[in-house]
Amino acid sequence: MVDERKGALSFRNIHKEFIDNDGNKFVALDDFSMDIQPGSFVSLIGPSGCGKSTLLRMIAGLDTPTSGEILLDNDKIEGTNHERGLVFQQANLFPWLNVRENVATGLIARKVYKENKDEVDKYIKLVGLSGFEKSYPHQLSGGMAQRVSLVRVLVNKPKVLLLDEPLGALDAFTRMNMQEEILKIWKEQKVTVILVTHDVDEAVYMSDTIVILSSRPGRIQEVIKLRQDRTRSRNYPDFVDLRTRILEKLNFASTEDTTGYVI
Amino acid sequence: MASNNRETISDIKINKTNKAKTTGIIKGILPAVIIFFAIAEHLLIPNKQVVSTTGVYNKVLMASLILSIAVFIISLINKKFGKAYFYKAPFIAAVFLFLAIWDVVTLKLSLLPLPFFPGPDKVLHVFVSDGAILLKCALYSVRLLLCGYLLGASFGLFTGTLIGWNQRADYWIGPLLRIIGPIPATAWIPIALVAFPTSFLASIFLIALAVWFPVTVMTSTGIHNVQNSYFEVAKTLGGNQKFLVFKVAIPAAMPSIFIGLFMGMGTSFATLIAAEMLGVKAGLGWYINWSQGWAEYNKVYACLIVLALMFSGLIKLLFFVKDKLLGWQKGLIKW
Repeated sequence: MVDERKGALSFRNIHKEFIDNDGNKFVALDDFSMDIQPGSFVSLIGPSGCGKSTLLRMIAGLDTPTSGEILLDNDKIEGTNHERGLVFQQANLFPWLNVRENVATGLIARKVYKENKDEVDKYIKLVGLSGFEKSYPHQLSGGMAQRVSLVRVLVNKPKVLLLDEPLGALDAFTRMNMQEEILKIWKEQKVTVILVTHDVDEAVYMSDTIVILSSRPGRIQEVIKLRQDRTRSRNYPDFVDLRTRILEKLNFASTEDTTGYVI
Repeated sequence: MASNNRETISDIKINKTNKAKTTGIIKGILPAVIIFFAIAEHLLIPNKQVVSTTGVYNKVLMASLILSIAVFIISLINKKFGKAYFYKAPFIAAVFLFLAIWDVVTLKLSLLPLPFFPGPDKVLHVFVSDGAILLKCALYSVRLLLCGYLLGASFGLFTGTLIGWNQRADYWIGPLLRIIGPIPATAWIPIALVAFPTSFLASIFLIALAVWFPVTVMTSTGIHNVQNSYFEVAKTLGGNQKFLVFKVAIPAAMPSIFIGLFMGMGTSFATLIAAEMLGVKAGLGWYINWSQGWAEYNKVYACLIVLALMFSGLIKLLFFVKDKLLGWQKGLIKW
């Protein structure tokens, strides 16, 4: 009962408009409808300004759609809730709290810290930060900080884990390590993950569904389903094919154009 | 040839360390030497000011001489203590040099007019003759100051948080704060003395008012400037409004709040002394005023010394609290 998470998301005709400082209206997201199965790993990929982050913020409850609705397990999403955890691009750790206190924030906020004390240590251990419990955020490296911000959300046992380019600011090695960690956590916890990324490799490597969005207004351009039972490897032939296909969709791969750069 | 060179280099090194050692020792003995000359000057040069000496200054110097020699001997034995003492010693010597010069220009040469500029002996004697009263006055002042300060700071935190967090509160209280706040609390003295049943309560109000303004301003500014992302994180983690205020906004604004608390401490000192000089019949401000009335300027100086010690002690205390609460800033921001 306690751990019976679901996390089915459905989007119904999401339309989101913003009004900028000059009073101009622009559409960030238009006619976005899809269903996401519980426990799936969905990547949102697309050029800047396609409304990926806006979509994530709406699932988190930080923004509301101009029209349309988002349902989590058939309940309309209204406001923020710990069931929908968001990991931001910047770690955004509270600088006045040490690592342990940062991780415990959600539990303390929900007044369930006492009965879940051990969870905090379990999660800190999970991402290899044991021994850093008493460190303050400014003493951590970027990768460590981002790990803390990840488990700070996980300790809340969310049904949906929203990742807004959480690895964008990390170096290549840390990034690959964290990709493995996220996959491990995803498999263990059967949480629904929605990942916003700019990195096609990351999307192909990690997700089982990739949603390609077009820019201004953000619309679904293509949904690619990947085989669930595939081997996750970074140099699988399928992997390269898929990457090329996505890059073509995003107009980055040069298939016909041969005006190559001479390096 | 080469070995010769090496020898000279090591010789220079030894010479250098020896030199550092001797300068350290000279620095260490300096206070004792200066104190000795101060005593000689005080005892040997005839007085020009026509006042009776009490011998307190002489006793203090004698005690200091014995102490400085004792400390010097200890610092020769204990290297670590010695290093710290040798560093401070020139300053300590300068303090006694100042006392000696003060003694010369007042008691010995009478270059400064009496009763406004008494010699060190007269001032130090106050601590003997008036010690009990001074202590009582100091306790009175501390009590008044702390009551007013704590009251003003708590109110400041409250209104500052309210204004910083709630737009409607900002609409109604904000202008009041911006227009009435800048009036120095001392300007309210005539009204406060009438409005409150006792001058003690009136003074508490004035000091609280003096603290309230900077604490409110700095608290609300601090909360205004908290990164929005912190609130978003807290919200998505399941924090409610109360959590956002007390666990995010206030801790994040703490560095700014402390600037307000320090500013408030400064204004509270000024207000305390002004209130005591004008209305309250006790405390160090009253003591200064009263001594001046009797033209006993030596008492004024003695009281100033007490004030200096008291206020710097309180500031040190606030720094201590700040370091406890803002320990997380270590390595982040230097104050």
